[in-house]
Amino acid sequence: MGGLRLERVRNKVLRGVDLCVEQGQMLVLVGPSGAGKTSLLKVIAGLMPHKGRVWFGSRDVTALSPHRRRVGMLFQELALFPHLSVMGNVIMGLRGGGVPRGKRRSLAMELLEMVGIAPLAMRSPAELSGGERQRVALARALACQPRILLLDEPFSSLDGETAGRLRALVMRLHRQLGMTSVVVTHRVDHAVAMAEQVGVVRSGTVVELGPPQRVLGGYVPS
Amino acid sequence: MLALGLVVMGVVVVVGAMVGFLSPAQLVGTLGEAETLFALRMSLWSSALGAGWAVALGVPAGYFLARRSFWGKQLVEGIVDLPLVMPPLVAGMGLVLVFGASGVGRALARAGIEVAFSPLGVVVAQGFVALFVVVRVAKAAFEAVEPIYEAAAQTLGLSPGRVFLWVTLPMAGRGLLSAAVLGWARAMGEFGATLMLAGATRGYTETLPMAVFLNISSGRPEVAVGCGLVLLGLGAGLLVLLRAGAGSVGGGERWVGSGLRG
Repeated sequence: MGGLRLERVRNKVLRGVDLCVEQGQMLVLVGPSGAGKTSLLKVIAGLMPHKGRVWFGSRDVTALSPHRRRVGMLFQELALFPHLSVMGNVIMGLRGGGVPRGKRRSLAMELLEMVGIAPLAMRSPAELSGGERQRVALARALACQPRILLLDEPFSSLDGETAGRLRALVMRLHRQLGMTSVVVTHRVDHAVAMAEQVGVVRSGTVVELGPPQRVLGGYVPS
Repeated sequence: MLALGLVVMGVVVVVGAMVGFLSPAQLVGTLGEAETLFALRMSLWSSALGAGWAVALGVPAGYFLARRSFWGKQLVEGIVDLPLVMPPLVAGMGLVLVFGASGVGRALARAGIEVAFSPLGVVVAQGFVALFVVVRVAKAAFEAVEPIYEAAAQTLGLSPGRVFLWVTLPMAGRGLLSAAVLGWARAMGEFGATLMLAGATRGYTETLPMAVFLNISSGRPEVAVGCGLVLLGLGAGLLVLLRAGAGSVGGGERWVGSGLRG
């Protein structure tokens, strides 16, 4: 399946980004607001026009539309469909992933159990807490069986304890499912806890890329 | 508070004047008249067809305006908005010039389709006037759906067509229902453009507004008022439909209980 590679990606926000993430690796992008971190995720998902090339493994996906890329994305705004229940949101991902109708309900329940919110399956997203909504969005992103998982500020609106629990869940799922993941955060502590690779984004380009010990230096506990 | 009181009083006085004009026996008599019944039937089917083609054309046009950027978009929006401020009588005059004895009208007549001074003309005129209301309201309904929901659906593997059907359409549902009902109400009450294009022929192109006009002109005010009250009742019915729809379609609750059919 392979990892992820970006070659000289540029547009109105990004200024020539080269990036490589190995299969099954978690890359965490850090940097100040407006640096271009979210734009990078949108480029990978096919949601933002750009020049340069994007590769998933050995396949050039630059010209591929978003619905053909099999990328699971957790948006910072979450974007849970308000007209559907929690289960309806997850089933939408399963539909997109081409799961046959007869298997969707049981698979949706499995995914909701995996993220720990199965009892809330029939609730409306509006009735859930911030952490619960994040879990729904995560289950929905996983439902389309993505080869690459993109998480945009996944813990930004959560209190410390909830963020810690969800972070552990994301890391466990990432390892368990063997996906290539790219996480955007402005919090160095999350980057230190999660990353196998860290990229520092500044002014529309990746200025530094490497293991957290080297890139984040003094932030990493010995 | 005083202003609101005056507004409410204005509506009550105007409607009350019509209701008080007829005794209950006169009202029942005029409602049972063949002319009133013809006008009611004509209004119902012509406005349904007129609003139908206005919705069929106006909803996709509204979607396109809400979601696409293109060169000259502001000009196009100005053109689409112009009929909203155009007096219907003037719009009707334009329609007569298009569908009359020259140009498109002549070509259609050769194919056996008569638009001017025919019931088809009623449908065309009503639909034309309703169309721009539908486009405007549908555009606002689609604009109210944040594009991020469509982006999220795309990343889940849904094709643009499925995104439209399963995400955009249900989320814009309440606004689109408003567009359809307002378009229908506009078509039902249409007079000026219909008069110009379809004429006011008793028992042929006679909608309810036309019946009001014809009977006031020919000295039968009780029939005119009877038709006016029927029109008012239909309008009130559409208003109730609009309010009932606002509480259900796209509101979420209806879908939430059942999840989404697997």
